[in-house]
Amino acid sequence: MKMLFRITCSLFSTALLFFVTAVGVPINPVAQIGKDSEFNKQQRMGHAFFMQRCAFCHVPRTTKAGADAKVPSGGLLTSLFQETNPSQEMRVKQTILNGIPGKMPGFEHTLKLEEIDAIIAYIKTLN
Amino acid sequence: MSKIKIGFSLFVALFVLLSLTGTQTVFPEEVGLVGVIKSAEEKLLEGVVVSARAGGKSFTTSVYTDQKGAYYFPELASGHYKVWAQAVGFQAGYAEVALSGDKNVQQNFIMEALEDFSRQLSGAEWMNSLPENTPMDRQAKAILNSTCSGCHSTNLPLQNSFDSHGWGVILDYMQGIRAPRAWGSIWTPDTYNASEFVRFYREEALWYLTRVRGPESPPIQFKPNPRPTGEATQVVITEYDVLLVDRSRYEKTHDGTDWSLGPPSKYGGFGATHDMVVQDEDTVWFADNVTPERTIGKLNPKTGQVESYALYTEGNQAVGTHGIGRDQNGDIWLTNTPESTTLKFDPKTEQFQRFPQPTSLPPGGGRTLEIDSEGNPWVCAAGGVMKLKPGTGEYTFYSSITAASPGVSGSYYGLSIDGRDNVWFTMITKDRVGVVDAKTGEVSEIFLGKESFGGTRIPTFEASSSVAPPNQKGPRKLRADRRGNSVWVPEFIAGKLAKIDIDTHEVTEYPLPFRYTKPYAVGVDKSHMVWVVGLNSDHIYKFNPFNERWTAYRIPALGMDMRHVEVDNSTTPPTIWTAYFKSNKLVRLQFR
Repeated sequence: MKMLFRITCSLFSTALLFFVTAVGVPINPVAQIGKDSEFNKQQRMGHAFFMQRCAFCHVPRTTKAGADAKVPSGGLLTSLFQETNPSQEMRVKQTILNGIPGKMPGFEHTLKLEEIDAIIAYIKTLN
Repeated sequence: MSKIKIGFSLFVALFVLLSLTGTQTVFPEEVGLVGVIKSAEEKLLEGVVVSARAGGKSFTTSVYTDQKGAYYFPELASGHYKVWAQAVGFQAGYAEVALSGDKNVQQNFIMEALEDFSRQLSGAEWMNSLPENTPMDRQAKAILNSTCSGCHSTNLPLQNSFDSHGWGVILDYMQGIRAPRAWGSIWTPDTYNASEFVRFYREEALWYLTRVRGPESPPIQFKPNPRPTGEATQVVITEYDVLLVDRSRYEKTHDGTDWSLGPPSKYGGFGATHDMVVQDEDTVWFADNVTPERTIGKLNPKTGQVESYALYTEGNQAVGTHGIGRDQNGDIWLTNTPESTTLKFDPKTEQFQRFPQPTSLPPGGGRTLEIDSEGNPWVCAAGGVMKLKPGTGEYTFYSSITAASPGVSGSYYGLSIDGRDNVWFTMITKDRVGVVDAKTGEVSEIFLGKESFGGTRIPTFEASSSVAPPNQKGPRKLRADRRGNSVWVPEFIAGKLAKIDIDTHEVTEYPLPFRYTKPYAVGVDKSHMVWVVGLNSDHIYKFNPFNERWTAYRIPALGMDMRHVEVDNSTTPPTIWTAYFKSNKLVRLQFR
């Protein structure tokens, strides 16, 4: 019986080790998937949402000559956070939420607040 | 507790554990990375895509679980891999494994169901889920399908919810989009015209979008497509990165690999991969219309290494190319987009040769290309097709019967040559297919008809190649079965595959299995199977013409547009190649 106990314990330990190895430890999906990047998790998410929702008006087009020299209609955002100013971040957040009449849709019904924070975190990398 | 009870308990736990880890599944002996995927409710999940990418490598390999929830990879090189599993409706599973090449590694996943999986849905799934209870609903959906998804997948806008102001701003911006109508470089902004279609249908679109995707809209009952099953799971897909020009701040990092982020945007840089041709197992050539430093690229599928070759213009930019073919001597032929002519590239000397066309002929050379049995490249031109005789550099122009509208190319785009050297070409905006008789040189045409729209407001102005009235067919990159008697035509707007009998010119149409797919290109393999790729559905379709049944292969990325099929008949079964135009990847499908 002692032998059975030992064998069972041994098997259990081996199986437990195997199970832990096999199932794996969950890792940060956004940071780990696909290409490597210098962005952190928040910036990566913000970059994706920025490209989907903001790039049309705020990113130069790609052409054979590289980036289009023409400034996009909404202007580049490369200097939006040039100066550290908390009220500026609040203004940008409000603009993303509410839009600009006749010029920009508001994303209050689309994006969660943390997703808007992620977009802002990405825009800050453009400085 | 006695040792006996503890031992018994551990024995039971061991039994449960072994059951949970799926060790009862029998995997092929020769493989390395294997596993079983279950839902949190212990249900074995079929059709889950499992992807693996080694550190420092430029390609990702993906396989699918079978009906027992089991997956196995082909032999992968030793290394440290990120592994992830995705299925619509479930939170993705992630892990890292080390493969040493001499033993199996089992990586199981338990997938948690998601309450909100809307960002994982393809454009076609979004469209299919939108209300269509009334004639106005159905007309509005047809308008969105024909007006919007020729340029972008419909999940890109539909994942958002806006009020009427928000949707109105977006539609107004879309009116400024320059859709390619006039003949010329498809990337030169001056050759683009504003999209009159968005302007024409603005009110219908605004009404419907605000109604179904506004703040007050009722919840959508999503209708995801079924996951791959049976034959559709027996595929190995390899996606190869092709680097675009460095755009520093804007370089794409979300490329559709992570479905939870929704579809990627084009604005991180796109368009480096469109058409390709296979030389052998070590070499795939591809045209490039975007990258400043590349006219043609070469991929080694075994290593993922990409080499670039450039022919520079006076402006010191590499000539852009679109169509590509390989002749009987092994030379590569390309359509030269900015110079509207034809190029030859000799892989042995790595030299380019221009074949300028006389100014007396209409501009051409910018689109697709095929080579006849005598080694002559054929290309589309404004108003017809042209044959180039490489020995003399002489071009011969064959005019279509139906003339293009003044100032509009008619979008002569797809071109293919059948087993008798008859040359078939599409006129996208005219819903016609032309054919040049190989013996007589005479041109005839086949009218594909019009779609039933149901609405009464149909614009009279000419469509572009991507944006069209909802009653249009939109024939695009057709392909002849060189071993058979059929020409296969993807109807881009109608979402159908058309078969043309090359003797009788009889037309038979087959709707694609998933509605709102935009079929763009077709390939035909040595077994007469027809392969269809396109936009908006993230699937590659196989059509069996003998039993008229479809097999839908899910691709591992979300929000892709695929615009070319290349069949490598040197393998059995044939290997299929396509490209993600939106994320600059070449993609190989191998079948088990």
